[in-house]
Amino acid sequence: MSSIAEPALEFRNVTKRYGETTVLEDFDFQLGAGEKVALIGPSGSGKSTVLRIAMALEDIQGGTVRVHGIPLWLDGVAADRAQTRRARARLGMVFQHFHLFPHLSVLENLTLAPRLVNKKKADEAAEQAIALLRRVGLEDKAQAWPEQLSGGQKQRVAIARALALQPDIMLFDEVTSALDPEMVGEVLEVLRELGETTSMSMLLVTHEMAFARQFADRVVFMDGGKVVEAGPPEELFGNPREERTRQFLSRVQPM
Amino acid sequence: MIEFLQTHLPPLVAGLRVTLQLTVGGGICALVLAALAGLARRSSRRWLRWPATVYVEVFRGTSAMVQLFWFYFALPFFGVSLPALVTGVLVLGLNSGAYGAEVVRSAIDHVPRGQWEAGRALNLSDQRILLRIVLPQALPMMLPPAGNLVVELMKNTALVSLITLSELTFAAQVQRAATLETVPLFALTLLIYFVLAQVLLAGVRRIEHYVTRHRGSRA
Ligand SMILES: Nc1ncnc2c1ncn2[C@@H]1O[C@H](COP(=O)(O)OP(=O)(O)O)[C@@H](O)[C@H]1O
Ligand SMILES: [Mg+2]
Repeated sequence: MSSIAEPALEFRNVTKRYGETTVLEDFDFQLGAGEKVALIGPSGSGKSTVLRIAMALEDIQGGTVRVHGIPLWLDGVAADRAQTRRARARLGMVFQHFHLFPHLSVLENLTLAPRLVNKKKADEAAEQAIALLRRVGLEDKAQAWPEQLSGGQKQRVAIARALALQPDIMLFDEVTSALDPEMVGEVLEVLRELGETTSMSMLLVTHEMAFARQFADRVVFMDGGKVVEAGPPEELFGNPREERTRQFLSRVQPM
Repeated sequence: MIEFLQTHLPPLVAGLRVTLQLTVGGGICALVLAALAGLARRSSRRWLRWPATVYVEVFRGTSAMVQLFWFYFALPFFGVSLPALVTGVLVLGLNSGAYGAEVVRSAIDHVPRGQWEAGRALNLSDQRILLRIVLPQALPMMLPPAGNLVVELMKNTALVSLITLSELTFAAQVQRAATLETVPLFALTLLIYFVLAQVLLAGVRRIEHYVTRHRGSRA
């Protein structure tokens, strides 16, 4: 599918502004094929923006973004709709606040896109959905409505929903931040299982440093819209080179 | 009592029939216009948004009575003469449609942005997101204000007596002039309007119940 050299995601010289506010400036980043990267940094540093740009949910003001070589943006020029959808087909995304479809059952949440986008037959889509629900431990909730689920269950459904389109790259944006503490574990367990059993590339924005440490091949620390430091988790957490990284880590993981 | 009803009920029922025609015709017209203009006002295409905005603002910002006079008495000067009933249906529809467009727009805007983003992240096209995700959530929000608009439209049908249509209010006036039984006659007329409003509201509640029936205990 993809050559070894071709990264799953590539950001080059990306500039992103909201009006006067510059969120990313000359931002460079790559996610290798099959790589698991944890993206950490203070609130407002631009982590969500990076994920949202990758999913083509945001415009950018300059630079190049590629998804498995497919340009979403080439030197600040947007791809056409067909190409954007081709790039999006490689990606799945899970949001902090789940965004399940409240008017659809859990099963329908999982089958909607495969049926409409991938033209799957109803029974085939349902079969696959049940298998995914089993994988996240929720096969008994297929007929439930989203509002009947706990936060942790909702997020596991959202993960299954993203997986139903069989993406090559998964983007996770603080998927445990909106959860009650006792539900964080069940969601991280699903992520751990995915990380261990699939070859998907994963980009995970998180404040769970302990989890990032064991999950990620590489940790990227961002601040003020720039990558400050990146490296293997033992190095970045154990022996950070940059002062700003050290300050951030001492705030989020007290000794 | 029996005599009173025997004298007055038949002409009032004849008037009621016209009132119902205006309500149903105007309602259908309003529904179509509200849906089209409401969606057009949210469009990213300027050539769709702009005419819809002009339509909504003009019809909300001017008197329904003057609109009626315009269509019935002024348009003929431009070579367009419409029958009174058609004019009534059209003006009532245009007027309620303008308010209805705002109901549609506001309900769509109240569906959280995250729903659009989740749809896009699943690679659904914007039309499909609108149709399969956003509108099903917006529809239940539209119904209570839509019910009020339908009752409002029904009450506005009385204006149409001003362009020679003998709907319910007009019929009541005619009977009063003939018999001078003012108080019981208008009491009966009010009662008929009231019952009609209750029937319309009950209808809207049924639809509301129907569109939310699949859901658990949605707020
Ligand atoms: N829609 C928006 N309009 C204006 N500013 C925004 C918008 N979204 C995000 N920002 C700003 O962009 C910066 C980065 O945001 P974000 O990527 O969400 O940060 P993070 O996910 O790291 O907390 C913040 O300063 C935030 O205020
Ligand atoms: Mg964020």
